[in-house]
Amino acid sequence: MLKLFKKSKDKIPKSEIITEPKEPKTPPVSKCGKPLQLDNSRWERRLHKELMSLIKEPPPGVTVDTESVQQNLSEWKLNIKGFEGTLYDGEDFQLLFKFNNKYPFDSPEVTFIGNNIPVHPHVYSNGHICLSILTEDWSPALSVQSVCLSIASMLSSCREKKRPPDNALYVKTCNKNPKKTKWWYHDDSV
Amino acid sequence: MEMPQLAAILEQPNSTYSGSSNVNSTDTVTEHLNNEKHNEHITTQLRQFGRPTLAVSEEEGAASSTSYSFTGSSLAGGNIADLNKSDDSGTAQSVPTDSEPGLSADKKDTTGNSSNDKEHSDESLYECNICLDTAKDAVVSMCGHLFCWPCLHQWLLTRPSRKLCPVCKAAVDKDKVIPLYGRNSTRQEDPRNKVPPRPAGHRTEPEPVPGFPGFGFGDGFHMSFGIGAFPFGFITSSLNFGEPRPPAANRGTTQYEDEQTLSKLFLYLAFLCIGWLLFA
Repeated sequence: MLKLFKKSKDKIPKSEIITEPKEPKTPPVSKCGKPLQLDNSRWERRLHKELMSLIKEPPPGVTVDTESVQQNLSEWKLNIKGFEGTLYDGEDFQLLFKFNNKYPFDSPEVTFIGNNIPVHPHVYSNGHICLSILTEDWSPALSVQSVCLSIASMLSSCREKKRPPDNALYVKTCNKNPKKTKWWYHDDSV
Repeated sequence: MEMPQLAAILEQPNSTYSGSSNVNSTDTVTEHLNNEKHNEHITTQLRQFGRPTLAVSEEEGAASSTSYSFTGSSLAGGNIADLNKSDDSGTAQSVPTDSEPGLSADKKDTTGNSSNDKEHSDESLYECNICLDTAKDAVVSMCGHLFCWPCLHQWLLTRPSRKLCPVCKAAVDKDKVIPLYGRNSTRQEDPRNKVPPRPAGHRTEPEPVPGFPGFGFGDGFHMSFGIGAFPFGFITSSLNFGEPRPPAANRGTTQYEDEQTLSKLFLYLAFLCIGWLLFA
């Protein structure tokens, strides 16, 4: 489930992260030179559908903060529970999903928020998550549900509670948006 | 030890009944088998309930009613083969007739829910993997995944360098998808030909009219120069109508080579002149 890209050969659990002041991505341009006309109602429709199915059949341990969604469909707050028998047993975490109007062609921006941010080698103390499906391995066939499942799996397979080694530096220098970070996915053991 | 006795007693009414129905011995054998089954059932029930008499009478009624239908059908038949058949059909029939009312009752109870769910699951089979709606202008990839063509097309445009199936990450491309046409689809045109962000036609400038004088160099590069006072030189070089330039000689002929050396000579001459103008 958790498919992280292995990029560097060394297995040192050191996630090197280069925060680059990336220019805002130019929108996909069709051959005629005009920016693509993205149908607004279409991504909203899909979000509605996902919300319905998430409320109807939520993945284990996940609940949607319906109030937050009702206020703004493009920002969802989800509560996720640490599973029994894992290091996070009994803990509650909050996830924030931000969708832009290119969803589902562009990945949502997913961060942990709130007081309790899981101590995990792939989660920075500001809530940013190092997970390949949130950036380069994103696919429009993925959904909020599958992202939740991935994160739950990432938490569950953790063996040792610790922050990423470069946490202090990254948190000081990173952009607010985790998608602006150029992530190196190299450790697929957790 | 009570139970087998009870079973034996129970066997009696049914066996006597089948005997009275005047069919041959195989019939009674099968009946016995049936009854044994019933009796087993009864005995288990008896054990459960611990109220022998009541349970027996109830079950007896049930058993006799099934044997009724059985003997009736077997009488209509006649020979053994028919009997065996009718035995099968009888039991087969009795099952659905027993279960059908229950099923229909269940259906009636949950008409709204079950039918909705069914419809929903049927529909979701044909949902686009990207917009999650029922696929419109449907195409299916070689790996078997269904999409609306507009959705897939947009995904292909989003990552032109990595054209992967959103579901299974197999290679996918415009030429590697198959359009799907339903029976009553109004237009049977290829959905790949009509896409919302339709690629614009390519308009190329027409070839320049031949007849421009000057020195050709290669195929595309032409240059000309003239000597004279500015306006007249301009006029002579740009407004040079009249005799069109003869077509270039074929490659390999001596004339072609002559022309090449000549054009190179003039080019060097031109550079020389320019250099002289600059440095002098």
